[in-house]
Amino acid sequence: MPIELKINGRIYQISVSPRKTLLQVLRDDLGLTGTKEGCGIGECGTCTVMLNGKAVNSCLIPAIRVAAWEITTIEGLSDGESLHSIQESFIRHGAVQCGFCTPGMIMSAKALLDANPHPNREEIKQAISGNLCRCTGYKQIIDAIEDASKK
Amino acid sequence: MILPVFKYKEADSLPEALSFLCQHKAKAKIIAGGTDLIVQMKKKEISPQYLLGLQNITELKEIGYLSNHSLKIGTLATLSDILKFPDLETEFPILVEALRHMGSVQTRNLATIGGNICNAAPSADIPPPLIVLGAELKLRSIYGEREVKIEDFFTGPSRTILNEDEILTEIIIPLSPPRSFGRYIKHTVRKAMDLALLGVALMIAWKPEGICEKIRIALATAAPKPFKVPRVEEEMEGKEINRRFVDVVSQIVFDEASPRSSWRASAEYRREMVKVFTRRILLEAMEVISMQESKCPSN
Amino acid sequence: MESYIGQSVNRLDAKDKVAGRAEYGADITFPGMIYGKTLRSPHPHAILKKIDFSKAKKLKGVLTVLTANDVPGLNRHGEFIPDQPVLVQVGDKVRMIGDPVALVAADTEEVAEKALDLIEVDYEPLGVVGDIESALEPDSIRVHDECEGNVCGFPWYFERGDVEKAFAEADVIVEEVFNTPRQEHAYLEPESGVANINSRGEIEIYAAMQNPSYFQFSISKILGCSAHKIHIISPLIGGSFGGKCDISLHAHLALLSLKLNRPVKMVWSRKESFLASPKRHPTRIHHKMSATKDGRITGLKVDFIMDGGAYASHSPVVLIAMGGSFPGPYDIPNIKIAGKALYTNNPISGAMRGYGLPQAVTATECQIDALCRKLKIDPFEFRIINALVAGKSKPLPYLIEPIPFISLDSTVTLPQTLMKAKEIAGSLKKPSAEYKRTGRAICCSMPLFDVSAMPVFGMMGTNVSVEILPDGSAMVRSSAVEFGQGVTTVLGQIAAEEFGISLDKVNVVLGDTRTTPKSGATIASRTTYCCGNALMQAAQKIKAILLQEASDLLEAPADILFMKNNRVYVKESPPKGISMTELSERCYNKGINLKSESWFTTNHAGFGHTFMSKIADVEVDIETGKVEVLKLITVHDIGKAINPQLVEGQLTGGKMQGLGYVLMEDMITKKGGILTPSLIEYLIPTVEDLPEELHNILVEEPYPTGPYGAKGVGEFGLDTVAPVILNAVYDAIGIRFTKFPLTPQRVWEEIQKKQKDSNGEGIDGSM
Repeated sequence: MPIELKINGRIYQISVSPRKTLLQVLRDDLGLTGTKEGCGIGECGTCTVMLNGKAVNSCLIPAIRVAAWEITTIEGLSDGESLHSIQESFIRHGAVQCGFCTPGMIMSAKALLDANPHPNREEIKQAISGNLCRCTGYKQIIDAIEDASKK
Repeated sequence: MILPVFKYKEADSLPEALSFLCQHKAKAKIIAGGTDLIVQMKKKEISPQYLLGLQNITELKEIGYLSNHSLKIGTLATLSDILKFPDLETEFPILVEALRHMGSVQTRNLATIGGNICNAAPSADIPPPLIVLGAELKLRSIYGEREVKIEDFFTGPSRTILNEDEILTEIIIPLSPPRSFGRYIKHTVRKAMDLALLGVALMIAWKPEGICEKIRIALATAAPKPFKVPRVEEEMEGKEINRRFVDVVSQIVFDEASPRSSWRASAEYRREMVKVFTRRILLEAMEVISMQESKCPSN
Repeated sequence: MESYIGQSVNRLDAKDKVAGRAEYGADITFPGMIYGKTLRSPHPHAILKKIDFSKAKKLKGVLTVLTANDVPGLNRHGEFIPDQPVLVQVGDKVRMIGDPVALVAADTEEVAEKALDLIEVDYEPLGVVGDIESALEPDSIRVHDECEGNVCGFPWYFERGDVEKAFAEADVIVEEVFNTPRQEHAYLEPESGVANINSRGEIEIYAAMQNPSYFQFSISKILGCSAHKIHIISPLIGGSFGGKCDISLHAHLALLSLKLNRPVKMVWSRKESFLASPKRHPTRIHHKMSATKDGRITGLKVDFIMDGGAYASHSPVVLIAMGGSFPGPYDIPNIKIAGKALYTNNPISGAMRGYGLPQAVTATECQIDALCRKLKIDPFEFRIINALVAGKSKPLPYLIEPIPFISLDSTVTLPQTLMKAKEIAGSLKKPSAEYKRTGRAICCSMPLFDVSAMPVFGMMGTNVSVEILPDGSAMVRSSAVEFGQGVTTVLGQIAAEEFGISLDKVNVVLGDTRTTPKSGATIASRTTYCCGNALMQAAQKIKAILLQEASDLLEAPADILFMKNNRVYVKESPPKGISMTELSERCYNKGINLKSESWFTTNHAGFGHTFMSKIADVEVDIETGKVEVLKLITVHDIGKAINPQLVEGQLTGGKMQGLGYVLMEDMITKKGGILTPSLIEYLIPTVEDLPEELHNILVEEPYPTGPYGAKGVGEFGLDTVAPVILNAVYDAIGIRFTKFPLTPQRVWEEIQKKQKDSNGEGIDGSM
């Protein structure tokens, strides 16, 4: 089925089977491998992308359902070598260890700060409670998002 | 994980969707948010021939007040859409409590109220609050429309009265009277992204003198389906709300609940927790009542 | 920057990771790549009678189906006991659900998956050894026919003094049986990788693992070819915690790729990862301890049994590590410890952060708490009385001959960490509701880190190389791997410090048998210490050469030169100097070698130790059984934190993993089947489970032999979380839990029992 996907401001015209999830299209068809697969059934958050500004699990969405939506992936946050302030903040605060949850975590943070530029720590926790991290213990991630919101 | 083979149909209008369903019946499955359906399909638990998408039918996403003091929520409103609706926290705190603790932000942004209801999981968080709020469901088919009380909608685990050619289109929730209090407590092992070991929804309305005018209790994971406890209303309405009232209600709920044992929790524990949370909500209600009526209910 | 040591510089790999550019196994592609899938046994124990893959082979897009007959070399692997089949042979047994039976390669993942359904396999189911109890039965079914009593390897035994006499003379004795749960690593990245045959006909395997040289060696045996034709390359690893020590999909990738002479990718699903990866051992620990009335521990007797699962993995060594961990940081004169690991038809148990210590300290620290209650001695005081003291205490017996005793050669003492913890703990909160109780506890441990590579891992040393390039930048090479702990950054900081060059002039290349020297496994909290020391040795050799050359040029003796800001300066007259670029280029022009590889090994000890104290505050809802952690404080003897932010990251992450262990994590099995095969069934903590207060205090007194005084840290955040929470819960409600995780139901049930026993008297933790 031919569709048009609008990802990180760019239009991709591709043909996909209705069986392919957005995650599979991103990773396998478009080579956007920054978005990760940790469980495939919406329980870990590593595949988080933004869909019309909202954080969603890309592993739960057949790609054909989001043609013409605004999709933002981790690759859409930085511009070449210049990083988004949330990404900078994650680096500064040691919010990254193995890095596998990081893209999804940052996308959840981005969706939060777009909707609520000055969240309190409780709101930050709620926003990333769908993103599992096994390395950091989360504390540094909250710090990083809080700090980014102050910039 | 790869989805099984299916054909995808996006309906542009409700009549189109209804006639598609009428044509394909059980072979077709509606995809709303997809957060449950896609998982079931990936796990190969179901594999429908057709998926019917309704996302272009904007009227199914609408949320708004109706003139008869009730709120209408379109079946495709996402949990996040509903949470963002103005004044929901003041008008329907019990619904907000249920929605806020469901899944994750990511799934709440996709999952719809209609999907959660039609999926009919015994652990679903939305049905119990809607039952105690007295919500009604509008079901449409090519042949017409019917309205049912949500408590009559469920027939068992993943089973409802919805016919193969019907679509749940709207949920109508009456506003609660001013002298009322409601809460939903979801008991989980993990604080976020967990299924309810047990859920208790309770709604109570009273007369100025502290007499119970109306009480509704519904439970999640306490029976094969979202479960209302009619004995409470039969026996307790008209009674004075006091400590004894709290004890009797908690005992009735304990007696009526019929949870099952699973590796997550035993039936015995679930039943005891039904009692604990019912009591906690009622004690909180008593405080609210005494504050609102500025007098302590007598013991 | 004054010095790179002790600075929380940004991770060298962070930029790629936040930008989504970091490459993990599943992200790697090659032209013409195909996909592999594994057919797994649905039976926990059965004879494999027949495999018929004719239908699968006919499916369009299927390129090959492999079975045990296609394994050219040894169809066995396992680091300590090679008892695990690469693919189960017809006529042989499957010993767990998930045992690999056949492999499929196809043009697409979808076809490969479909082909699995078309393979027909006949099994003859056998009786199942589902837990420790059934493995112990006198006439139990054997998981491995040759292993009597289902014992994996050999039982372990240690004795000192006369424990029975100590018990006979003791003022108090406590005795208890503890059961610990099966913990899953639950790294966020499921196993994945690609194998490729390069243009020279050599096989390259790109997949996460913790020890490239062992994998090279083991896979060469499986493929029946010489190791020098096999290249193991570790991409970035999405978490490991010990769970990527064993061969998982690596050999399967190699077999398919060799057969078809094409690049093959395999990505495990979460469920597959849960089925086939090793877990933390469930254990049953019979623990008895005695003390005098003035609070001296006199005897310790332990019998412990570990559920090793279907294959040995790391069981033989975890057994020893666990056995040696029971005495903890205490001076105990009479000890008798015996343990064994048993085979069952459960998922494999193996290496996991803590490596046997978490189970052992849980039992010992809970027992110490019980002794304190009986003796009415303050738990701080009790631990100070019994603390091991350098020079005074008998050296702790650890491991088996000929591995030397651990040495107590650092200046930090256990009481020092205890007092520090007490100092910052503040006061315990009052309960927030009438149906809640609060409690506090303290726990200690003496975690060990490898200081020279244990001989059981095949090498008593660590190789790291460093090279100064003609422009004055540096290449560091080590076969250590980066799974998030920060080895890239720590080695970078050390090299930058040694050569006085800026960190952006250091490149750290890791985990690649083609290019990096053998640094041993990235395990045992050893990498900063072992690789750090090896790197410093190597750097110092090159440094001496550079300084000699600079000395000739600057006409100043080498001992008054120093390296800083990418230059070599003359002390006292700093403007006089030469840039590293100029100096290096000069060396190259003169034919001087600026690459050095250094073999670091120690002869003084097999392990270094650290002292650690933790304090936890909890609140228990006595009506629902829900336990909430209010505060979790760690005081850790780190020697020197080369990068404090990375150290904190290890401690905080470890603590959350420990909270998961004690509060919610349990890979429940029934007759060999996992009841919790997903992340909504097997629960790990989310951000909402983070305690309100979580502090890490670092005690920094340089460790004499550590690089810049550093000790290990990787595993230690997790170590005593379970007992400190269990003891705090005791303090709150007066119930001693010997089983965990403390799910609300488990806690509630014990509260019910206590209420019944005490005829409705209150629930609290008073002594």
